[in-house]
Amino acid sequence: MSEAGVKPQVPGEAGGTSRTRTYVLVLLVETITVLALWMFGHYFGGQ
Amino acid sequence: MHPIDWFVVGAYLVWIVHDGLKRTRAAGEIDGYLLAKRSMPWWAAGLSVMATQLSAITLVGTTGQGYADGMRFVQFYFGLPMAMVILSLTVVPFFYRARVYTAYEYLEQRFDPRTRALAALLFLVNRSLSCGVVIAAPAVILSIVLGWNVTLTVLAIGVPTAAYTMFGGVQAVTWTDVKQMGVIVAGVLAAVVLLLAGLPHDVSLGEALRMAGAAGRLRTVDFSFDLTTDYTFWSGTLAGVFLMLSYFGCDQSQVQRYLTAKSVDEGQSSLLLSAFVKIPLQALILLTGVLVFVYYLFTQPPMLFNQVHTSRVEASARAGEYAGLQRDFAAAFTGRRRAATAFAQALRDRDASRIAASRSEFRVADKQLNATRTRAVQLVKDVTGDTAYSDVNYVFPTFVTEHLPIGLVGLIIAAIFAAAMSSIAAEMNSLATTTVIDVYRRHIRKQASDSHYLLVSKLATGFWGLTACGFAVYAASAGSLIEVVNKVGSLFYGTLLGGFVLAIGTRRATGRGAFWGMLAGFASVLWVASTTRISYLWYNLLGVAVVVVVGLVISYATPFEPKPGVRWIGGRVE
Repeated sequence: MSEAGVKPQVPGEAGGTSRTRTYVLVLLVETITVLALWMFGHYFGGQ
Repeated sequence: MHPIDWFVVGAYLVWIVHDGLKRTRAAGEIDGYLLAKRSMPWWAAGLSVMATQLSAITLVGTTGQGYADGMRFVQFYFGLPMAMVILSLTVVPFFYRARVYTAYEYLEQRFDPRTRALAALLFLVNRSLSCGVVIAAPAVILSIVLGWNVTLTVLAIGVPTAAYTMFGGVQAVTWTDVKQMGVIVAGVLAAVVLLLAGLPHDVSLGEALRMAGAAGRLRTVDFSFDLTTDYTFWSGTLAGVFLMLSYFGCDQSQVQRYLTAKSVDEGQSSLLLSAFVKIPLQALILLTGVLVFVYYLFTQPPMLFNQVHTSRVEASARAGEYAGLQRDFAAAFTGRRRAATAFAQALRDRDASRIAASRSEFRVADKQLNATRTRAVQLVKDVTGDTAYSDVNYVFPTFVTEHLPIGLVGLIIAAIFAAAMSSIAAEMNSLATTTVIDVYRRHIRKQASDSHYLLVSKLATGFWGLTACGFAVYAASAGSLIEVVNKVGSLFYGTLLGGFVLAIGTRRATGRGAFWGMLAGFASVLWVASTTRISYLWYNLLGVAVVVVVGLVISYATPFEPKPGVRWIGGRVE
């Protein structure tokens, strides 16, 4: 049985900066999507 | 169905089962069978994550909701991207580094066997019920719409899935999921294209959307704060993020998807694929339902899409009343079509005063039609005693079978099969994994060969497949049970998530605190569910809060004996 959370070097862990950028992009895309949905509903008279 | 449609569905089933069974050779060891030897590329694991979550209930139910209620349900997914970011930062690296087969294995490493057993039990109960319902729901719908025998339909969905999952393991599950996502998306896109092409020649897409908006179908984001309303921006974002954290972070059927990835990075990427794609995909599926609504502005829909009780009502003492409602419905439809045509003409002429007047007339006509439908639904309930009667889930399959061309009917039916099979394959595989790793290997037979555990895993998969089919046949005849079980996940998820928050997110939590905290969380959610009208999305937040608060109080009140080498998110526990 393995030890929980023991931190050996695991292959394939990416650098922090590029992953952080991806997380920011996720939240940015979601914000844009929610705004777009709201505007879509507002424009076509549903809101 | 036309023979060509039968051929399309049959070809799909043969293709998927063959594709799954050919993975058998790669599943010759327990590590390959349960975790694909951690060899999956991120995009395959990511599509499998999406296919597992997108069941047939989502496909037919969401389109039906788009038709009847509009696009508000898209808010249910607003918490998903944030949840994926949080999970990428926390549980993916934790579970991957721990080299576990199941999420619950980690709980024993952090706490004790009792907490692990409780979490595994909650998962097994919740997921086994869900697996049966995921088979039963589309089987019932297809049996009514197409006249199929419901038991045979259950077996047509469950048996092939159990076969390729049992022999091919998680690699069969993942690679068939990839193909099934393709079938689902192709089916949805084909439906959208045909709906757009099916608009009357003198009605543009913009005019059609304005009609849908006038009928309230395009309310997408609701910023009101009401705990009793199911779908608002706040329930989706605040409460929904906890549901998504629990489902994607603590439910083995999803955890096992990204544990198969080649690396931590690829495991994170597999979750982030959903973060980008899920909301647009769900919006598209809801929009399909809205376009079906627009289609039926100009082609008369059935008064009731679920015809299961129609013959009983027509043979009852209130048959005359039902016939009268059908005449009223036909007249109301004619009035609404006239109003819709006038509205479209006013929009084309850009006459502001006529637009306002015709929009108002259209809304009145739509309300009249819905009032007739509501009276018809109530009549059915009164005559048959089926208080859970609803026809929302039958809208899309009825539209498909009555109005789509030959061949495309088969494609959409195949997409419904694909949505069901992709979900239950992952569920069967994860149920077997938890049964073998968290129950059998942990408590019954602790020392055995790899080949023994592999055999038991296959038998467990077959067992859960049979159990799911058996429960599905029962659930298919217990209509209201389907509606109840759909929401039962939220009774469990907050509790499970709370346990993992204590494990990963706190240093001081102990096994005793986690165990009793989880029991308190589960009890509190059950109490709220049975005594209040609070929307089920908030149960997840409540469950997590109670588990964490009670768990920490008990942990601080009892001795702390940290295990060496065990980590929480802030470092070593000791």
